[in-house]
Amino acid sequence: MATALTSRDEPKTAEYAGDEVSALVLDPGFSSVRAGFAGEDTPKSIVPSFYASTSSGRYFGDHVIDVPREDVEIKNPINRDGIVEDWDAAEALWKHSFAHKLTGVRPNKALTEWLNDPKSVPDLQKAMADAEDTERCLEEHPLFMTEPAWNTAKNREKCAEIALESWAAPAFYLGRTGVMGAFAAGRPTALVLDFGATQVSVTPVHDGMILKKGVMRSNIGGNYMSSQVRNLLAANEPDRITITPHYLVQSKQPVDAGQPANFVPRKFPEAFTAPQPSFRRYQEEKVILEFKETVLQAWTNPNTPFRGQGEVMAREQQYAHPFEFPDGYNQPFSTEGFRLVESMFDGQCYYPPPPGSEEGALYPAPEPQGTIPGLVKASLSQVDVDIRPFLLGNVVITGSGSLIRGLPERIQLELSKMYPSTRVRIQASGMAVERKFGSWIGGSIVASLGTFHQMWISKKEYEEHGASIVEKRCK
Amino acid sequence: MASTSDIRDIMNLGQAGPRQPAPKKKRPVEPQVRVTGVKREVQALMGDSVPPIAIVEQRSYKSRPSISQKLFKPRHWEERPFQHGARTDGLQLRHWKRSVPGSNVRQSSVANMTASTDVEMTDEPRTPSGVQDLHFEEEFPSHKWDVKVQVPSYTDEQYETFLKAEEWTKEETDYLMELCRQYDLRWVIIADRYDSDQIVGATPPPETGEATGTEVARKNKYPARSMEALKQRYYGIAAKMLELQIPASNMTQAEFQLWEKMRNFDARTESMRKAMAEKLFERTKDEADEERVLLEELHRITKHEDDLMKMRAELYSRLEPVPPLRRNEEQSTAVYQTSGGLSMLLQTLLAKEKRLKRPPAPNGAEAGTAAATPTDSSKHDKVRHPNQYSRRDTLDSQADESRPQKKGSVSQPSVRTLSPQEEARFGVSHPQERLTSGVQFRHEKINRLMMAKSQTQTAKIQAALTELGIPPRLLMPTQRVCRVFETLVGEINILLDARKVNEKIATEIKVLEEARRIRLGLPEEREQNPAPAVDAMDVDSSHLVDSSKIENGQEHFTKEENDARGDGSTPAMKTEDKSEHGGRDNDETTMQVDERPHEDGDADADDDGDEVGPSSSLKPTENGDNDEEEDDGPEEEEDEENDEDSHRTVARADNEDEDEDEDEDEESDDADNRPQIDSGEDDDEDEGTSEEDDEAEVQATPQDDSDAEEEEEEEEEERAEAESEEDEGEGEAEEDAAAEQGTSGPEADDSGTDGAEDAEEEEEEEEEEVEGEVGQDEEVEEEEHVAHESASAASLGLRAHKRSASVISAASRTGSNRSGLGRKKRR
Ligand SMILES: Nc1ncnc2c1ncn2[C@@H]1O[C@H](COP(=O)(O)OP(=O)(O)OP(=O)(O)O)[C@@H](O)[C@H]1O
Ligand SMILES: [Mg+2]
Repeated sequence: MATALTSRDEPKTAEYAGDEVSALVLDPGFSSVRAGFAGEDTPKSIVPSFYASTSSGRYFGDHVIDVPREDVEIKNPINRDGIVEDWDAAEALWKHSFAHKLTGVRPNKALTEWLNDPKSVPDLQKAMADAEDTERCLEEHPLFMTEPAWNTAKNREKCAEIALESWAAPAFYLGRTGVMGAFAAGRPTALVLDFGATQVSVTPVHDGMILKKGVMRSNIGGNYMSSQVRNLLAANEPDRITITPHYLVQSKQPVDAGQPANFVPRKFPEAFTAPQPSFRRYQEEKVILEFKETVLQAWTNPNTPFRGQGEVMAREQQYAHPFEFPDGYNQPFSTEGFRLVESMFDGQCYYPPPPGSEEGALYPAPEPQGTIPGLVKASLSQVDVDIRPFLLGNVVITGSGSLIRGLPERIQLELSKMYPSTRVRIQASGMAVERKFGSWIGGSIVASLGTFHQMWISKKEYEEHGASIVEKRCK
Repeated sequence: MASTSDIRDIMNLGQAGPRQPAPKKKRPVEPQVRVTGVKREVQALMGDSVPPIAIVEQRSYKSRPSISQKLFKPRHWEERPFQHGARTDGLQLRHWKRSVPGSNVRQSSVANMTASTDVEMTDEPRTPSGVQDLHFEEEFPSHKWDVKVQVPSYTDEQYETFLKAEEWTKEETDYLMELCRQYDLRWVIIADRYDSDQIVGATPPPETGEATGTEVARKNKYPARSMEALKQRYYGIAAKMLELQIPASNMTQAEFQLWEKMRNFDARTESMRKAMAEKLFERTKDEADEERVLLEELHRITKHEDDLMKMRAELYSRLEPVPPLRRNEEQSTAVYQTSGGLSMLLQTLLAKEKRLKRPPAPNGAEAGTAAATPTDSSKHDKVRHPNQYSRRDTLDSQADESRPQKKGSVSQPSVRTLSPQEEARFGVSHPQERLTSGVQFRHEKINRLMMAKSQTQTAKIQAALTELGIPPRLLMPTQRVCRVFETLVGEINILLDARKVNEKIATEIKVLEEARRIRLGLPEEREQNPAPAVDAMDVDSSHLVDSSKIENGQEHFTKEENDARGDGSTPAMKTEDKSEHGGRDNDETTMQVDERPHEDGDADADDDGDEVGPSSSLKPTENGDNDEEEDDGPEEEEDEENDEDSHRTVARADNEDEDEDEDEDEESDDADNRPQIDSGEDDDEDEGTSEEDDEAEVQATPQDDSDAEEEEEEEEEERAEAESEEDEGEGEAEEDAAAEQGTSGPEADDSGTDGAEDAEEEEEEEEEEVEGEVGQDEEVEEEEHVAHESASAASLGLRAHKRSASVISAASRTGSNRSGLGRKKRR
C-alpha cells in the first residue's frame, strides 16, 4: 500500500489504460437486461426482462416471448420498484442473457460423454459434482452487476450469492445504476436523472459514490408514461381507441385519419387456449412504446407555460405527429404528446384513467414532490450545500425514458428557473444508445479500469466474510 | 517579424498600396500523354477535349509489402493470470498480454514498436522452436494508486485521557473514525452515510435489563450529527493525536499549519457559512437578476472610475456654494425663463460638453479654461478656480442639475402612472402652489427665503446656517431638502426675532441699570461687566479650537491665543455682554451660544431654551458699533468686508485651506467667516499642511499657506478682491483670505493688548475658559449630529439623482467633510 502520492506523480501512459480482465457486465432493468463484456461500448446482449411462462417452462428472449402460445403468461421477475422479486426467474433470465450469446453454455459432460458410455462415469460423487459444474457458467469472468440505489441489503447479498456460488464467477461487484450513469457521462460527481421503466430517479453522486440521503425517486418512469398513454387513448374523442396488438391482426386496410379501423382479426384454432391477459398487455405495451417514440415531446418554450397558453399553441400543425395503430386506425397527435410529457413536470396535466380501470391506483397523478423538479429539489436539499452548484453543473440524464424529444432542454429550462443563481448544465448524450445503455456503459468503463480490480469481491473473500461483505465493499 | 502587410492582414485591412495582381498560377503544362492501346483514329475523334475518365492504362497495382510471407508473423498474445497489486486475497484475474520477445537484439526496437503495431515484423525468420523466452509487458502498477488517507488511531487509554468529550461517546467516536477511514475523509459522503443506528457496541444506558428499553435509549443516545459536528470532532481528535505524536515545538511548518487549522476549526462559523451559502443558493430569479445587474454596474463603475472621478470633481466644483449674489443671480436665472434664454443655456452647455471631451490641457497652461472646465480632479486646479468663474460654473450647474428633473416631470409619458415611490425617485411632484412659467430653481426660492428685509438680518440668518454647517447654497436642493431647509430658516427667523426682543429687553435693563448705577454712584460696574462677554467669546472660541483639535488632531489650543482673542473681543462684546444679566452663568451663556442652532430642532436644547443665547455668529451686528468704539484701523476694513461680503465669500469659497478660515477672526467678522468656512468644503487639510507657511503675529497655523501673503496684503484687501475677480488662480483666493486675516490679525492683537490690562478680567476669563471646555463636549457632539444630518441630506439628494453607489458614498463623505469644516476651527 502506497502511502503518499503527490500531484506531481504523473501516471505513465500505460497506467491510464484500462486493464481488461474479460469481466462481464450485467445491467438488469425492468424493461430489459443488458449484458456484455467490460471494455466494449455497447452491450452485446439485450434481452427483455419479460419472460413467457407456460406449463412447459420459461421462455426468454425477444421473438420467443412474442409467440402467442397456449395459455402463455408474460411475467417479469422485477417488481414495480425495480427490485427483483422472483429470484429463480431472475437468475434464469440473467443467465440466459449472457450464456445464450456471450459466454456460451458449458457442455454438460453428463450429456455428451457419459450418456452413451456408462463405463466412463466415475464414481457418483464426482459425477454429481460435475453435473453441478455445468451450472458454473461464469468461471472465467468476473461479474459486474448494477442495481438501483434503493436495492435492499438482502437483495444485494442474494446477487452476490448467485454470482459467486451459482455461476462461480471468480469475482463480483455491484455498482449503483446512478453512479454508472455518471461514469458513462465521464463524471465522478453528478446529479443523475435516470429515466427508467419503473422509476424516474435522481441520484446525487459525489466522487463516484451515491449520496444515499439524496436519492429520490418517483414512479413516473416509462411504465407510468405507458399508463398515461392508455388513459389518453381511452379518453380519446369521439371514440376511445383500443389497441389491437399485432398478433391479433391478420390483415388490414388503410383508412383515413380518424376513421374506424378496417382489419381482419387473426383467428386461432378452436382448441387453442388463448394467452393470458398479461400476454396481450405486453404486446400492447410494445405498441405503446412505439407510440411513445413517435408522439411524445417535451414543451420547451421558455416564455409560455404549457398549461393554458401553450396547450393551445401546441395544437398547431407543425407539432402534429400521425400515429397508426396495428389495426390501421390512425390519427395525428399534437397537444397530447406534449401533455403526456408535461405530466412528469406538472401533476395537473395528468390524464385521469377511465372509470373502472386500475391504472389510477397503480399510477396516480404525481404529487408536486414526485415531479421531476420536485425530485431534484428534494434531492438537492438533502445534499451538502457546498456541492450543490457542482451537482447542478453536472446534471446527467440517462435511461431510455429520457429519449423523449426535447426532454433535456426542458429539464435545463426547469432547473435554471429553479436555481437562477447557479449555472445548470445538462449532460445528455446525443446518442440514443448511450442514454439507453447508460448504466451498462458506466459499468463497462469501471470494470475495465486497472484500478478497479482491487474492488472486486473475490470468491475467497466471500467465503471468508460471508455475504455481508457486499455491504462493506460496494458502498 | 511581422511586416505591415501581415498586420494589415490580421486587421482585415486591405492592401496598403495598389493591389498586387494575384500571382498567376502556373499551370503545369503537362505533356500530352500518348495514349497507348487506342487507335489513333479513335483518339482523333476526341479532339482536344480530354475524356472524362482516364483511359490511361493502369500498369500496376499497389505493390504488396515487400516482406515475404515467411517473415510476417503475428505478435504473440497470451491470456495470462495476474494478481492485482493492491489485493491481499490472492485473487487471480486473467488478462491478455502481448509478449515482448526476449532476444536481446530486438529488445530496444520493440520498445518503440509496442505502441504502434500489433504485428511484429521480423527480418530474419524465427526459429519455430520457441527457444526464446517470452517477456510480457509490465503489469498495471496497481499498488501505486492504492492510496489511503491517514486517519489517526488511538488506544482506549489515549481516548480516556485526552479525547473524551461530553457530547461524544467512545463508540460514536470510533464509528466516526471508521467512516473517515472508509471514505477517505470525503466529508460529503461521511455526513451522508453517518447513521447513528449503525453504531455498534453502544454502552447500555442505566436500565440495562430490558432489551426494548436499551434500544430506545440507544436511539435517543446518538443524535443525528451535522457535517460540521462530525468535522469538529474529527479535527479535534486529529489535532490532539498529532500533538501527542509530535509536540508543537517539533512540528514542521506543514504539520504545524495543519495542526493550527484543525484546532481552529469552528463548527459554528462553518454552519453559519453554510446557512448563508444556502440562502445564496436559493435566491429567487429576481434577486439573482438584481445581483447580476449590480455586479455589472460595479464592473462598469470600476472601469470608468477615472471618468467618474472627473465628473464628480466637476460636479462638486459646480456645487460649490456661491454666496447669495442675489441681484446677479436672479437676473441670471431670469434670463433662462424665456425660451431664447434656454436655448442660449443649451448652447453653452453643449459647448461645455464639447470642451469636456477635449483631452485635459496640460496643467496650469490655461488657468482660465481650467477654471471654466473644472474637470480636473487634481487639487491644484481646484485651488485655481477664481471666484467668478466658479460662480458662473455654479450657475450653469444649477441649470444642469435641475434640468433633468424638470424634464423628467414634464416629459414623463402620460400613460405611465408612477407609484409614490417612483415619484420620489424621479423627483416628480405635483405642487399645489401656482408656479410661474419657465425654469425655476429651487435654490432661488431658498435664497429668497434667506433674504430678510435688512441686510443685517440676512447676515444673521446666514451666520446661523453657517454655524449649523449648512452651506448657504444647498448642496443638493432636492425637494425634501428644500422643505426641511425652509422650516429651518423659518425657525431661525423666529429665533432671531426672539433674540431681538431679548436684546431689546436686555438693553432696556442695561439702561435701567445704568440709570441705577448713576443714581447710586457705583463706578466699577462698567469694568466688571465685560467679563461674561469675554467668556462667551472665549468659550466659543475655545470650543471651536477643541472641536478642530478633535478633527485635526494637530492643532493645539493655546491659551494665550484665546486670551488674546477673548480680550480682543471684549470691547466688541461689551454691549452684548452687558445685556447678559449678572445672574446668568458664563457656562450657560456658552451653552446657549453653541446650542442655539439646535434649539429649533433638538429637544435637548438646554435649560435656557427660553433664552436665545447671543451666539457668536450673531455678533457682527454689534461688531460694527463696537469696533467703531475701539479700533479704528480694522474697523474700516471690516466695513468693507461687510459691504463686499459676497465677493469675499466667493473668494473664500475657493480657498483651499481651512486654516485660513481658522485664522480669520471671528470676533470681528463672524457673519463673514461662516460662509467662508463652508467654502472650505472641498479643502484638503493635508495640502494646507504641506504648503509652506510662515507665521505672522497673527495666530496663523503652521499649515496656513496664505500666511506669507497675509502681512503684505493686510491693507490691500480691496485690491485682493479685485484681483481675485480676474480669475487668476489660487493666489488671489489666498490673498483674499490673507487680506482678511490681515485685518483680523491686528485687530486681535490690538484687542489683546487692550484686554490684557485688567488682571481681574484675565482671571475671570480663565475660569470661563475652563467652563467653556467643559461645555464644549456636548457641543461637539451636537455639531457632529448636525454634520451627520447634512451629510445624509446630501447623500439623499444624490440618491434621488440615482447616482451610482460610489458617488453616493463619496458625496456623503464630502458632505460630512463640509459640515465638519463648517465647524469653526481655531487654534
Ligand atoms: N424513445 C423512447 N421514448 C420514450 N420512452 C421510451 C423510449 N424508449 C424507451 N422508452 C421507455 O423507457 C423505458 C425503459 O427504460 P430503461 O431501459 O432505461 O429502463 P430499465 O433500466 O430497464 O428500467 P429500470 O431502470 O426501471 O429498472 C421503457 O418504459 C420504455 O417504454
Ligand atoms: Mg435502469
